[in-house]
Amino acid sequence: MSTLSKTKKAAKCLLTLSLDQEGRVDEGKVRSILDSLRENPPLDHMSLLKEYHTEVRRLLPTYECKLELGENEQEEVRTVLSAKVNAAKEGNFALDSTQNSRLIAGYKLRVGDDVYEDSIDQRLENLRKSLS
Amino acid sequence: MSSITELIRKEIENLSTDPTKTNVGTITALADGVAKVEGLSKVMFNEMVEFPNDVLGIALNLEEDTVGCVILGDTSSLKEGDEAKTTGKLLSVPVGMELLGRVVDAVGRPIDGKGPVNSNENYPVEKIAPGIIPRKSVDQPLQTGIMAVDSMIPIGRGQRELIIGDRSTGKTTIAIDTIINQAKINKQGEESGDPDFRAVYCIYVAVGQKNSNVARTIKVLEETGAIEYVTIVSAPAADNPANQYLAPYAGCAIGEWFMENGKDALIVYDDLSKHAVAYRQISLILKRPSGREAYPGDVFYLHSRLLERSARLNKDSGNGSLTALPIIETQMGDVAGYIPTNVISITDGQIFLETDLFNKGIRPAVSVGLSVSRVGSAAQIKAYKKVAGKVKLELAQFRELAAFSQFESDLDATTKARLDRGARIVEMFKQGAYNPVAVEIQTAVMWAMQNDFFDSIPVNRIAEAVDSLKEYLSTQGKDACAEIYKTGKLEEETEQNLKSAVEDWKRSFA
Repeated sequence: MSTLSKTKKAAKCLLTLSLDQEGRVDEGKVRSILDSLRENPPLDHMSLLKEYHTEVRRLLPTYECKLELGENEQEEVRTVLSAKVNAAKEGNFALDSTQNSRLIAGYKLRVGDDVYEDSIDQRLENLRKSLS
Repeated sequence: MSSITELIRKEIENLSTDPTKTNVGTITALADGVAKVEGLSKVMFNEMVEFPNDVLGIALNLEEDTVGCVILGDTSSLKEGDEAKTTGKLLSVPVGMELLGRVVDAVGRPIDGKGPVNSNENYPVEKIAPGIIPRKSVDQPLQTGIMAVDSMIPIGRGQRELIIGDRSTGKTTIAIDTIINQAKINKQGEESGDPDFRAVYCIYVAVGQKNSNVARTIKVLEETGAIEYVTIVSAPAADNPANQYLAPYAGCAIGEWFMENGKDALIVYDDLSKHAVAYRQISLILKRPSGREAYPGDVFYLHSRLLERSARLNKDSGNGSLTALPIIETQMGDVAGYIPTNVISITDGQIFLETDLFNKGIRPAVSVGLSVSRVGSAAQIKAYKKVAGKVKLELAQFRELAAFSQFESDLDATTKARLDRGARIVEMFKQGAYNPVAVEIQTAVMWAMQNDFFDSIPVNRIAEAVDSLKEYLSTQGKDACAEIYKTGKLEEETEQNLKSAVEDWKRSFA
């Protein structure tokens, strides 16, 4: 097995150790892993950290939920969508919501790498495509 | 004015206002027309992926964590970190009669400056070939208009006949001649008003060619009036390898539309050697394991799945056909190369063109010994079959004897007669480029040769005599050939008419 493969395998093991019971990355566990690596640095410390970073970065968006709302959207939309996402995913997801004036009105919800969108911006884009 | 606003209003009404769901990813690496994308967990193999600025790509490598997408078009506007979206669609091209007379690129976009293609239908570029049940054996001829081909290596509708040879041996010319001949036959058939007449529509796919060559081909087709029956799919050498890889499949999809709608079509892939090279390039960039000559392991499947889509369908399936003329360029006449042997084994025969014959002035430079049509005389009209039955054997014997007789000073009468006949047949088959001959005239010329009308003419004047006879038969002696055109048979009465016409010609020629 090449050094790179060994490092990748080790990084995957570290990722497994960083997960909580629901399969999400636990910040506390990540901190303790980084501390122990700092105290007992392996030979390929730098490359191992890079691979570990890649693995974590890859996994994080798979359960992250981001909500973008149009300028005048109400809290009500956020509550409804949050309830629907939690029901569908059977978990307790806190929707990280931001305001996006580009949407004009409506919402854009990202769950992992799935994007649900119902906004004026998207409808205008569809119209542009159909007319071009 | 009101109609324009009405048009836009209707477009708005038809737009879906439902929320959309897309699967997205992020470009992590971009090089040589290939993007590595993280995310896109629900992307399907061969699915179209949308990048910013309306750039499209195809998902070709589905790996554990990343997706390898081949970009179609300009990659200069893309950068690392850009978002990629799935579209839920397979790559498809516009199809239909509207494409005739047009030049399109590998994704069906017009590049001839004649405005948009007003087609209502799209076909996916990748499709499973027709199975066993809807197929039928090849039994209807596809006339190339080239005497050497139509007499010795007849091609049928639905057949796959490879044109193979070194560079500059006339491969493309044979294909273009065939296209021109189809246009001639189509016009003649449409003018005759025969309800049973079946036109053959053509698709010419240029892969990895110089733009100047493609422009020359288009010019020839325009000058001969064949362009109205032809669609040209162009992916020139300057195009990215993804377009060169896709062009034959796009052309095939256009041809399939004709076949599935009960029509006959002919597709020329010029050429599949460059297609294999483009695929090799893509595969190497995608880091797929390479095999012999650095081609990927599925290079056979690359061509077999393409050529298997050419077929003759039975009556229940519409009676359509798609004939394929793939072209392969050999290096130093080596037909045992990797890609040539692959394509030879897939096709139903090959027309092998020799550099030596070409340089000797024997054009088309068809090698009789190495060329074959596995469909054989099933794809010939009865009259032609009757007169051309022995000619391949006679010519093969001549080539053998000619090589042997170089060392003999004294030859017996039989050998001399065979050599003499062979030399005359070789001269008879000489034919200029872009000048296809109608099958009834070919039959009459061949009949004259078999009935010794050329024996008294010196060998060096045979080509001239054949041209003169062809002209005579298409003008004054038209009636003698009319019966052959109508019935496809050579009855005793027809032979008598032919005899008197050829005798008349001979008197005038002498």
